[in-house]
Parts: sequence; C-alpha cells; structure tokens
Amino acid sequence: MVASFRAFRGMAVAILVSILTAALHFILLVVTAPAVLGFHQKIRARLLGFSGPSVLAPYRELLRLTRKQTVGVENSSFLFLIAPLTAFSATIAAAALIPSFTRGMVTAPLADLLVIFGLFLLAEVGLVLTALNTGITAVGGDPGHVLTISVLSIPTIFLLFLVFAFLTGSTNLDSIAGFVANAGAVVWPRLVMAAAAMVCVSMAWNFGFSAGPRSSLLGGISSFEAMWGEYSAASLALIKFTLIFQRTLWLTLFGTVFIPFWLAESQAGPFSWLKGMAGWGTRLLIFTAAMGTLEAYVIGLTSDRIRKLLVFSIIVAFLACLVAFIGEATE
Amino acid sequence: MFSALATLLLVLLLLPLVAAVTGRQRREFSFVMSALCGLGALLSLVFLVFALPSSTQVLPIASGGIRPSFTFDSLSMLALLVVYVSSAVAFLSASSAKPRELALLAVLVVSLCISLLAADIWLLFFGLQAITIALWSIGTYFSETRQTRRVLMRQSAVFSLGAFAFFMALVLLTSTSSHGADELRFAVLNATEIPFWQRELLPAVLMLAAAAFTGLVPMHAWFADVIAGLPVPYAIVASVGLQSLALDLLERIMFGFGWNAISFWWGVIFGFFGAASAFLGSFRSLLASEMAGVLAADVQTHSGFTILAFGVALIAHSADLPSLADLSLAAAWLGVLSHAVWKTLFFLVADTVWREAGSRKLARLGGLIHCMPVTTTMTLIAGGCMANLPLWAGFAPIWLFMKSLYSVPRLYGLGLQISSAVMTAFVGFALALECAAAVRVVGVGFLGRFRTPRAAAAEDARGPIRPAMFVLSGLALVIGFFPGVTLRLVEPSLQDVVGQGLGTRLGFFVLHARDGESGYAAIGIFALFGIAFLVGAAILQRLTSSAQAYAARWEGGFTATPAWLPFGDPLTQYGPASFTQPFAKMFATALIWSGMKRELCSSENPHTPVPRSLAQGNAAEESLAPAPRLWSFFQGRRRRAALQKLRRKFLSGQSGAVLPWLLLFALFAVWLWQSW
Repeated sequence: MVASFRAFRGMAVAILVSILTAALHFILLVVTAPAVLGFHQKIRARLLGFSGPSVLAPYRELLRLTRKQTVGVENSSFLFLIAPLTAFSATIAAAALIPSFTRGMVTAPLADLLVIFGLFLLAEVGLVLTALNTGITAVGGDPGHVLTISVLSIPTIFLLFLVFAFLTGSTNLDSIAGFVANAGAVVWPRLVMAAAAMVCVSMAWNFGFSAGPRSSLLGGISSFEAMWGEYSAASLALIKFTLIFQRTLWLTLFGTVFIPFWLAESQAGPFSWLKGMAGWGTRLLIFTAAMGTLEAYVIGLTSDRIRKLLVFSIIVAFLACLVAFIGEATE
Repeated sequence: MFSALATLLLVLLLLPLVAAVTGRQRREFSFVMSALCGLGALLSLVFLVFALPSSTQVLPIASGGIRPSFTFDSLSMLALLVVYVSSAVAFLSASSAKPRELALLAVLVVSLCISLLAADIWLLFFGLQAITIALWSIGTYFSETRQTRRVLMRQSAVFSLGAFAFFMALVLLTSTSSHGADELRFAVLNATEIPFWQRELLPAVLMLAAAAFTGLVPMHAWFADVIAGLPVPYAIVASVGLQSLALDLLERIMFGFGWNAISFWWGVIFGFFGAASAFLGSFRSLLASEMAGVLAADVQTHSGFTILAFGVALIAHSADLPSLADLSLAAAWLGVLSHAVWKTLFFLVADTVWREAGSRKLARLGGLIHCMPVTTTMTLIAGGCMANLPLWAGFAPIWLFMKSLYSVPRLYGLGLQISSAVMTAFVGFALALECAAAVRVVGVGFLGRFRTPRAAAAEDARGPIRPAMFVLSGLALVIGFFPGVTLRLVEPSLQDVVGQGLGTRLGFFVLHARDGESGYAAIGIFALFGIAFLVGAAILQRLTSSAQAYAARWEGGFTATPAWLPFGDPLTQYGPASFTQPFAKMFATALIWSGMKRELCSSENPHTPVPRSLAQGNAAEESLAPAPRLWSFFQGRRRRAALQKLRRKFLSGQSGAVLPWLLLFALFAVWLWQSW
C-alpha cells in the first residue's frame, strides 16, 4: 500500500515537473524571441558599418503597435482575424513541442518532426490566406513566393527526416535529441551535410534577405510588407510576433537536433535546467550571430537566388542521405 | 446480411431503369437511391464493426458451366463502404437529374459493386468491362464536342485495357495444371504455386491494370480530363470508386501469396510509379484553371500515394515484415477513406459554386466568402484536408505513410536506400504542390474581391446538398481527430490479408507507427492549438481599441479604380496565374521530360472539358485541352533543346551552372570516401 502510494506520488511529481518545465520553456521562448531579432539586427548593422537599432527595438515596436488604434478594412470577411490567429496558434503549438533547454517535457510524446513541420506549414498557409483575404495586389505582395519557398523546402525537410529516422530509428524530436547527445562524436560527422541543408532551408524561411517575406522585419525595404498591409495595431502585432517567434523556433529546432549538448533532463532538477538554459542561450547567440553575419555579406539575394538556394539544399539533403546510408554500411 | 446486400444491388439497378423506361421524372427517385446507398454503407459498416465472418455466395444461375459467385469479406466490405458513401452523396447531388441520367449513375455504382464483390474471374471481368462501358456511356451522353468524345474514347480504351490486364493477371494464376474448370475463384487461386516467370510477370500486368483505372503514370494522359469532364455526381463515384477498386484488387491478388513470393524490386517499381504519378498529378492540380480540373488531377496524386504505399507494403511483404506491411496498407486504406470523404465534399463545393456563381474557373470567381460563408467554410475544411495539414483528415494517412517509407532504408542495401530517398523527395514535392494547389483554390476562388457580377450575386448552398456537406465535413473531422478509430474499420481486412493487423498500435486518441514509440495524437495537438487560439483571440480582443475605424482597401499604389469597375481593377488582384507562374517556371525543365510543359504552362487560358451540366447548360463554350504527348521528347526539336540546355547548364558558366557540377563533385567525393 505504502509502496504503491509512493509510486503514485513519484509519478505525480514527475508529471508536475514535466508540466513545469514545459511552462518554463514556453515562457522563455516568448520572452526571448524579440530579443533574438534585436540581436540579429544589431549584428547585421554593425557588420555593415552602422550602429544599428537597440536590441530591445522589437519589444518597443510590438508595444507601439498594441497601443495604436485599430483600423479595419471595409469588406473584410470572417477570416480577417481567424487566418492570422491560425498562424499564431500553429506556431505556438509547434513551440510547445520543440524542446529548448530540457528533454522529457509533458509534450515530448507529441513532438514528432512531421507534426512540427506540419504545424509550421499550417502557420505559413494561415499567413498566405491572411494576405489573400483582402484581395491584395500582385505587385504589393507575393504569397506565391512564400508558397514557393515552402514547396521547395518540403523535399529537403522530408529527406532530412529520412536521415534522422534512419540514424536514430525515430522521428520524435525528443528521441533524436537524446540519441545525438549520447552518440555525439560518432553520429555528428554523418549529420554535417544534413545541417548544411537545414541551414539553407532556415535561411530561406526566416532570413529571406532583401526579397524574403521576413525581410521587412529587419528594417529593410520590402514589397512583402504589403502582404499584411491591411492589418494594423494589435492584429499586425500578432502577425509580426508570429514571424519573430518562428525565427527563434527554427534556431531552437536546429540547435536541438544537431547540437543538443547541455540539454537537461526534465527530472534532473533546477541546476541541470540552468545548465540547459545556458546551453540553449549560447546556441541561440551563436546561430543568430552567424545568420546576421551571413545576411550582411549576402544581402543582395533575390527571390530567384532563394529558389536556387533551396534547390541546392535538396541536393545537399540527398547527399546527406547518401552519407548516412554509406556511413552505416561501412560501419 | 448477404441477401440484403444482394437485394440492395438489384433494387439499386432496377429502380432507375424502370424509371427511365417509364420516363417519369421525380426528385424522390434520387433521394430513394441515395437512401439505398446509405443503407448499403450501413450494412458494410456493421459487417466491419462486428467483424462478421467471410462468406462466398454462388448465384443460382450458370452460363457455360460457370456459376458466378460473390465474396463478402472484410476487404470487399471496406471498399464497398467507400463506394456506397460516395454514391449516396452523388445521388443526392443529382436530384435534378433525368431518370436516364440516374440510371447511368446506378449502372456505374452497381458495376463497381459487382467488381468489388466478384469471387471469380469471369464476374470480375464482367464488372470491370461494365464500368468501362458505363463511363463511356456517361461521357458520351454529356459531352458535346468531337474532341471531348475523342479523349473519352481513348480513356475508355485505357479502362478496357486495364480490365483486360486484371483478367490476364488472373489467367496467369490459373494456368497451372492443378486447376479444373470450376476452380476460377480467388480463394483457390490464392493457394496456388506458380512458376517463376508467371510470378514475375504478374506484378507488371497488375501495375498496368491499376495504372489504367486510377490514372497513374504511364496511363495518366486523359484520366484527369475525363474525370473533370464528368458532371459532379459521376465524377465523385468514378474518382473515389476506381481508387478503392484498384487497391482492393491489388491487395487481394498480390498479398495472396506466401512470404518472399514476389521480389522486393516490384515494390520499388510500384513505389516509383506511384511517386511519379503523385508528383505529376499535384503539378497538374496546381496549374489547372478551374476547380473540377484541380480536383480531378488531385485524384491522380492520391492514387499515386496509394500505389506508393502499396509498393512499400510489397517491399515489407517480401522482407517478411508483416507489421510494416500492415502499416503501409493501413496508410493506403486510411488515405482512400479520407480522400473519399473530403474529395466528395470538395466536388460538392465545386458543383455549388458552378450553380451559384456560374463558373468553376478560378479566374472568374473570388470573394465568395462574402456571399457563400457556409460553402467557404466547407472549402476550408476540404482544402485543409487536401493540403494535408495537421488536424485535418489528410494528415494522418500521410503521417502513417511517411513513417512506413522511413522504415524502408533499414530493410535492404544501398540500392533500395537510394530509391527510398528519391521516392521521399518526390513525395515531398507532391505534398507541397498539393498544398499550394489547395491554397490557390481557397485563396483565389473564395477570398479577395469579386471578379464577376455573377459571382457577387451567388447564394450559399441550400437544399439537400447543405446537410450532405455538414455530414461529410463531420466525417472529415472525425477521421482527422480519431484516425485510430477510423483504422478499426481497416483492421479486419489487414488481419485477413496480411494476417497480423495493427493491434495495439491503434489507440483511441493516439496512433502509433510502432509499438512502444510515441505516435500521432491529433487531440493533443488540437488541445495545444485550441488553447493558443483562445488565448490569442482573448489578447487581441483586449488590445483592440473599442473605437475601431474603417478604411478603404489599399490598392498598392495603383490609380483609383474607375466607376465602371465595381469590384476594383481585376489586374490589381492576385490571381490564379500569379500563383502558377513561379511554379511553372521552376519545374518547366523537368516537365520537358514528361511532355506536359506546353499543356500545363498554358492551362490558365485553355478551356478544360466541362460537359453539359445536369442543371445548367452553360458549358457549350468549353472544349478539351490538348492531351499531353509523351513521345514529344523524342521528336528532334525537343531533344535538341534539352541537349542544348544541358550543355548550357554544364559548360556555359551561366547562373546556376554551379549546381550540376557541385552534384557531380559531391557524388565523386562520396564514391572516393566509400572506397576509402
């Protein structure tokens, strides 16, 4: 009786801890996402010879938007708010599945890579429908380009999932992170190509350079701003936050899959979590700095070049598969 | 049960025939037919839910010493369920049809049912040829131009070839000496030992047959045109019924053998044909200019996925891995079930739009969300399924299917591993293009501004179609949220055919690909999504100022719209061509190889085949797009152009020339590494 009570108590505590870590993870992501963009802007500006905006500028921008008066569009439909909310919710749901500093969160059993990427795609579809809802002009914004990026990314992503499934035997993100963290040096050489392909896709999705859908967030002049030109105030803040949040999620996902070192176990206690948070923060800083540097030096990338980058990523992903297969065979 | 099903078939056939002969046109006929099909679906459901024992019924008639027989087993009942559900909706949507038109539909449905229930070769052959004749008759009845009839004739020849191929496959099985004249039933055939050459020839013949009936490569040329050209009730039954029939027959014939009977390379070949079909179908779907064209081409995409999943099952079957074979077949059947539901819903939407807005061409629609909110909501549900997004019904089969495809590289050597990677890339493209096609239909056809006054005057779906739409969308949601429960219907057939079933992998809330592994829990994802949605909505509500102002839409810097353009300048709105152009440009090179480039790149302008409607005759202006020419590549001009392009890519140093070289270099590096 006492033993079963202890077992039950242990299980209840474990569940509570996994819920707590999930909540902590989520709060951290929400709070740091604008700072990641701010840091990115700062790095890029410095490399281009400007002092750049403050790291806190995205917070101020979001706050400013929430205080403005909402201006609705005549003739808007019921999708006017539902579409951006769908994009927001899908992004948030994906965020709950991607571990940042700890494994074994309460959402870990749901964290399948196919589901996570499906949620990313759902968010993208929501954003495109948001843009099309009011009948935008063809030159004012380009939902087709956003879809093109998605289309060219999916084969790469699926090939990368094949690599992970082949090497780790699972497409669950928590299992993959655990496997890579444990196998470490053995498996890492086989993932280099996969990491290169993932970098290309991440760049195309989130660091679209001068022609990308996210470039307007970086202060550049972009025709893609017009995609959500009919939105204002809080609804525009919601869209911008979704985009900012997605960028942080991609970086977190990349770190969790390829460099999951210092990733804590949820049951390991607060000190271990702190170590995990430090690891996550370091990874975010390094990736953001790397992306900022890359963006500063290849800033002239046009939409046509982005397509070529994605085609290149498919080839690299295919090679990543070959490397994984041959590596396994020669072992 | 069996008597009831047989009687049902007889009534289903006789009632409209009698009505057609007497010439009495009453709306109640279609409702009665629909109710009969609903009853058939209910009986099939009861059979599957209670896992009733299989039975073979020999008819008390004989011709030339052969007595036709029907088999009632879990596999045929599963396929029958799909056919009956789609037929019930099809009859409902044909409420304004004439008796002879209903009779044609009934003949098509009954021939499908006979083919599914056939327990001997002759009855199967009869059923398949009856389907061919029924489709040809329907097409001829509704087509108005000579070109339409010509294409229909070609596709009918393809269907007939498919029927003959199925017949030949079964003849191959019967040509052993142990068979007597009476042993032409499937149950006997499954127990046979056949020589090597017959065993290797059989999959090729079956591949041909399945390709002919579902529009797979290389028999894809006219399938989509013919389906798009049929009125909606017929298109629903043909697209859904033929798919389930092909999978039923393939599974019944190929999985009747023992383990290792068929080489795993046949699975790879099935997989490649499926992947190529899915890719081409999704591309056609994306570039189609009108809604029926999008949906018809998408049938090819899903047939491709189904055949690819079947190929994976064959590979697993040859490797003696029943659990993986079960998983792939479950993915294929779940795909067929979900596709049947949402495709029927989407066809109903297309029909409603045609009736109300006067056109199915995307370039003439737009803004329908304002006047058809219910129909638009249904489109969002069907579109989400078509885009294979999580939580919608299309995602679970794709998830299962990808999980089974990802298991393939662990089975054999490098050849199969590379093949699985190529198939994965094709599937990725197909899924992405399908998603883009769905977004294009929803975004251009239903959102934005009106493009024509007729579309602005459209009214929402009404009459019996409306509840049918609600039921179908409800079914789609059930499949999306509870795929494990839906797969319970497939489980008996898996146990019968492969022998194991998914067992504990089918949870009420969670669907597992493997025992002991985390799975897909749609309800959990929905909970996360729903909480985020509610929180987001609450924050938005709180932050949005009460004194909300309204402003006119921004025209992107264009001059003010003149008064004679009440819906704004159509040129300033994102249109169907705006979506297709980047994709056509991207894949143009690849499509030279399929001979489809000219047709697809100009598909915004040509009139896709839309025959005389059941309700309205506004299709006189329509004509068929030219059929793709597979052999065009081998003609001198195209071959020279392709070679010139290759030379330019590799040698001229133009933009993009680096990629092929990089690929070659990387392959060389891998080769070196391997030797090292």
